[in-house]
Amino acid sequence: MANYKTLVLSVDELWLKGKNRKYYFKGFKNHVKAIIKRLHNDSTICRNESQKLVVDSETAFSQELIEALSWLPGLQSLRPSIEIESTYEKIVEASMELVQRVEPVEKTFKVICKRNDKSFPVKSVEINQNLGHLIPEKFPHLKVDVIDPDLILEIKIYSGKTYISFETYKGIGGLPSGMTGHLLTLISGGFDSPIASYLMSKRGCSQDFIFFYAYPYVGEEVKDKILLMMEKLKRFHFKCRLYVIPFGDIQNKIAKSCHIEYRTLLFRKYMLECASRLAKDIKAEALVTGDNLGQVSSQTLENMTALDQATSLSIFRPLLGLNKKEIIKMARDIETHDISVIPHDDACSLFAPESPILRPDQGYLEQYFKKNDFTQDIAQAISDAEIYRFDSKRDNI
Amino acid sequence: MIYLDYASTSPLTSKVLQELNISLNQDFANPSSSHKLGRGLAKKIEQIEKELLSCFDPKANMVFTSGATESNNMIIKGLEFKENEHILYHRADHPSIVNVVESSHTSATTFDDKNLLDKVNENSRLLILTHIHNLSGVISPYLDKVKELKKEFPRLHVHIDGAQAFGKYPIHSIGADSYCFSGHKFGAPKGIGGLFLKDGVRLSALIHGGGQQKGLRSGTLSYPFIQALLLAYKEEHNTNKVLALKESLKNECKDLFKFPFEQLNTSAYILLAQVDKVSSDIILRLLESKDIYISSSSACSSRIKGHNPTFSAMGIEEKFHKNILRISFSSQTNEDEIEKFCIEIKEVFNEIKHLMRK
Repeated sequence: MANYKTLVLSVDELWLKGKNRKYYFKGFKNHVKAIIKRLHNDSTICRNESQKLVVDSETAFSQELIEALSWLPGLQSLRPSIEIESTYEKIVEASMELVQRVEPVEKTFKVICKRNDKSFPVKSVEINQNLGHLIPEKFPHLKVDVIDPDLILEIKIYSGKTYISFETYKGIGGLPSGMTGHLLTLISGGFDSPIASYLMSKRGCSQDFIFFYAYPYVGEEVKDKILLMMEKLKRFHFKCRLYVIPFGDIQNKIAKSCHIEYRTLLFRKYMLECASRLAKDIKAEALVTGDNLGQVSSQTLENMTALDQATSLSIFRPLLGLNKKEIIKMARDIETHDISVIPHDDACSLFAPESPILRPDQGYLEQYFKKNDFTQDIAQAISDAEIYRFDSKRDNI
Repeated sequence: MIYLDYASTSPLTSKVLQELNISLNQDFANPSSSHKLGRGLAKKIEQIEKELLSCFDPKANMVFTSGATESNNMIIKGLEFKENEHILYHRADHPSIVNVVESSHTSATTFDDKNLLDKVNENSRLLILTHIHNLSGVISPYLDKVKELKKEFPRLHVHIDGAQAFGKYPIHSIGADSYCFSGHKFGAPKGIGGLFLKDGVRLSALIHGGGQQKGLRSGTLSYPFIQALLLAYKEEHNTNKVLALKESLKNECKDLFKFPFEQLNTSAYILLAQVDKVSSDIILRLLESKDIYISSSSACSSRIKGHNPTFSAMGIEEKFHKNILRISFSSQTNEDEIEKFCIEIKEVFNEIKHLMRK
């Protein structure tokens, strides 16, 4: 691990924000500070430098901290730099060391040296040229490209101290967490809902999560899987909560009382009703689901429209227009893929009819709603929910 | 609570618990110490060994181990094999046999419930039999062949895994060279068990150290646990009573389950049931919510989903692997519990009958 004592964080999309800019920048900075509080033991200084946030510390930052910061919504990129004594030999030695840390794949690079201390005996141009020569000699996979390089080796020489950076951690971009509103995300163990959540996080929405736990029709491993998933999703949030709603009994009651082909639709309707009640309790402004048009047979336009009536809140479905492959690609990028593929029992498929209804009969539904009232059961399920809290400032509670 | 999962483990009987408490407090000395306290316990252990060995072979040796898993390991890894010699085992044996044999450098051959006699030959060095199968309860059909085989192949060592049988079924007449068991399957604490070894069996040790137990298993002996082992063994094991309970349960639940192994010779203590059309895990959890505990497969492997190699080796079709329940009893089980169990399981089936389809 390199001895990184300075981190330079570039913020995405801030130039767009006119009047709100200060507020957005502050939100981002708070999130950064919260993570530093959890993962760094020493005190730090956070300063603004034009479009950038610079964090300094007397002790080196851990890899864990750097990675945690790299997931923050609103971050365009992060460059960690090391601090060394200002001598030519040290600069060359440290530069080589940093270059060695980067994965050996064919890339182009450029050296940018700036002398703040003009008394430094070697000129910037010479350092650029010397390193531009030495590096490809030792690391043949790297080639110089001064016009459009993949990587930049940046050297800033001050009197006494020199800062060098080479690695760049690319952020997810977008807007800082919590800037655009608060949502409640319906989460399951699959591929889709975590990505739906991620896309909304990227647009600056803070979220809480609701999981419908069909115990005893599914085993505890399903909940364990969701908790594992939360470890990935919480990285995009300042604070968030997971509500585990005991839903097995309600699902069984629905299954017993409706036409078999309506089961899936009705499960979803009551899940949305439950989510919508919880959303009001916790002041979430809209719901998020991983719905994708036509992916499974129940995801028809007709069914989605029918379900929209289950709640007065907006239902955001950020995946509607995505192909499965695109979703899976994103799942790999944000590391939820390997959790989504863990096999588990799925209550919906257990109860699922061979052929779910595609064009629901409004008359039947109205009659069903008249005869069956789950308001009480849903209120009970919400008050029996297990709540897990995640906070950037501390370890899980 | 109704506990019908004795084949995975059993609680301590009240007598064992009481005596164990006293013994843990009093008999703390190291049986290898040369002072009076140690010597006294060593003497008592000798006596206990004698009592336990009387059901196997009074002239045999006994090693106290942590249980059957360790004992099986000792035999498979500790016997000496010549280059062309092999082990005979059954794929449905407990993982502490199958996994150990399959990862050892010794060559191995499998047999099934019919072809053992074709498979055994003069190069067979070790034959492993499971006295009572932990999932199906099937009693090995080869127990009465052991003596003949021993006569025909003098170098053959017959080892029996008796985890589900010891204390409940006679073992003396089998004529095996070694026999092992776990105390926690019959009311002793977890962590104590044993291995009987016929006189003259040469074995190298798995655990080395201070040379306790004739160098076969180093480590300070736990007198309180050893005493508990004997006490649990001596508790009444009323197999006929248990058999009657099992039969009544089978009869009462015949519309709910299939009992695929019950046409064979099975243990009174274990009943394997197959449910149609619904995952046995769901039944397990619904029963659990009524404070009733059974198994959906052996505790060691119940986390495996779908395909289960042990079930395949037992001849259970793969499509039923998620539909297997094991109900297991002990002499502590009573009629009331069985009656209540039958009522509750019927209610569970009623609750989920709309899920049973296809």
